[in-house]
Amino acid sequence: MSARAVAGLQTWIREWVRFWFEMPDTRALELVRVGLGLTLLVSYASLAGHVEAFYTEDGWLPLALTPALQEERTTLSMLFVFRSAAAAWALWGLTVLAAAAYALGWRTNVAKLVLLVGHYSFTRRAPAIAYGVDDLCSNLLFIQCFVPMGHALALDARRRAPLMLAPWRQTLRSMGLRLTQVQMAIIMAFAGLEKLRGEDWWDGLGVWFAMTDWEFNFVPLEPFAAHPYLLNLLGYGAVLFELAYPALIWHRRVRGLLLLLAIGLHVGVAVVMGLWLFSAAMLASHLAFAPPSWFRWLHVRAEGAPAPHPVNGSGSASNSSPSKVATQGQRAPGSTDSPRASAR
Amino acid sequence: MPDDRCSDFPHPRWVYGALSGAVVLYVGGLLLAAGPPADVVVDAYEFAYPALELGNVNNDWGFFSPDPGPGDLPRYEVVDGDGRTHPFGWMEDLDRWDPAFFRYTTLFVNVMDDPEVYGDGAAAFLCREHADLEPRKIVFTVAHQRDRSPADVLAGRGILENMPVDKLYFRHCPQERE
Repeated sequence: MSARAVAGLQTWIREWVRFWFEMPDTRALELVRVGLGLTLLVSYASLAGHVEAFYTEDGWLPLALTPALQEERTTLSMLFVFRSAAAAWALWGLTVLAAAAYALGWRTNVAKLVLLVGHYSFTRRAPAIAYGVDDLCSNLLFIQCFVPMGHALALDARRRAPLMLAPWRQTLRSMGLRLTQVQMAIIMAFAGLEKLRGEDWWDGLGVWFAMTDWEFNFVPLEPFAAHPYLLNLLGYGAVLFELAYPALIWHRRVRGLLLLLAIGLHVGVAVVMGLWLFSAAMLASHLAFAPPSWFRWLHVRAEGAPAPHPVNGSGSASNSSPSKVATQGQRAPGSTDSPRASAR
Repeated sequence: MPDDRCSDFPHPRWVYGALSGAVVLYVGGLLLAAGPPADVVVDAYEFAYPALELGNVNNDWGFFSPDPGPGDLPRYEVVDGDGRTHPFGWMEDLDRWDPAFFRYTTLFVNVMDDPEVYGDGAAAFLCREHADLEPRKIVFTVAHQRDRSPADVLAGRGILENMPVDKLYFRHCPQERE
């Protein structure tokens, strides 16, 4: 291999490592966590009156009559083992509490495991009632279970001050945030590409026909029917947005605009089609791209920034070496906001 | 011991190698699950299916596509001991503002589409629910919504008008089987 090829390969590998594992600011992951926790909290709390109908032998899906649910070896659920109504209620209660704790960032890394077990158990026990919100939450939760969480926007972050992260934690958080971002780009890409295959979307009436499906018909149709250009605009706009998102969201200059459009799209879906829980999960995923300015607005400290000194309110500087700083959780003099820079 | 670290990164090379492998597997799984039905994709999908399920990346993300409507409305009929039929709207009888609304619509569509898996359980449940009718069997039916253009709606044609209804399948109530 020529020297130029080797140099090119090394550059490529360095860029790969930087992209996936060396993001300097991973606070957006915590915004996703809060959104995910709240979505799951509302989702499971709203099932309070339906636990026995969906998850017990007296319900719609008794395991005795639906053996296919347990046929796949990879389909795991606590409710396959513990089948009583009491067990379903106990797991439901634990899951609701874990979702609340996860949203608040209290015992975050324990709460997420309990939440994962609960969510997987319920969605595997009753796949017939699961829809987009459950799939998306499962994906986000799966990623976050491999990532140290609760470092900002969390009750845990108060106990953990200051905010400096050990290098391995920051590497895992970087990977988790990138996976969430790339996953969102893939989801939007396929949502747009699949629509291109449809005649209704091509004719500019995709939104109209989605709204006229009785299941999703939450608003009067006449005002929309009277404005066919508006329907065309909404239909083509949705497809163009979904196709553009995966390509453009990586560019800082348009990221804020795309996020605002995403908020508009999902709020619209929530109001017009009643899919507010699904929209909440999508919005939580979009937050993976939240720009740093949003955190300034939320008064969330930069990772690596010193905690306010308990007496004089200022951050303390240290003469320790950078690697020691990372483990001690203090900031080296002259370092940047990048924990990686500090760690080195 | 030789230093195994990349020159300007804090971890040894094998760490980045292992994490990169995990990233490639996860993203590959996402693409495979949502990919087009080409032979190569289908074969790879079948091979990877257990892992996709375990990692919960087995989704196609085709929201309201390729064509979103018109919808199908699952219904059912209770046939009592005297052979009389009692029709129920089922999906149309749901409270639209119940937070579990989409749980039930999803359930009913699955019962309609997958009788082998869900038919027996749903029938047993409905037989208990309608015990006062002394049900003998449950007949699952579906009402098909008609395409309604904006002009149709402006002309006063509702989205639930003139829906053709098909019978799908039936299940005897459990005591009836015994």
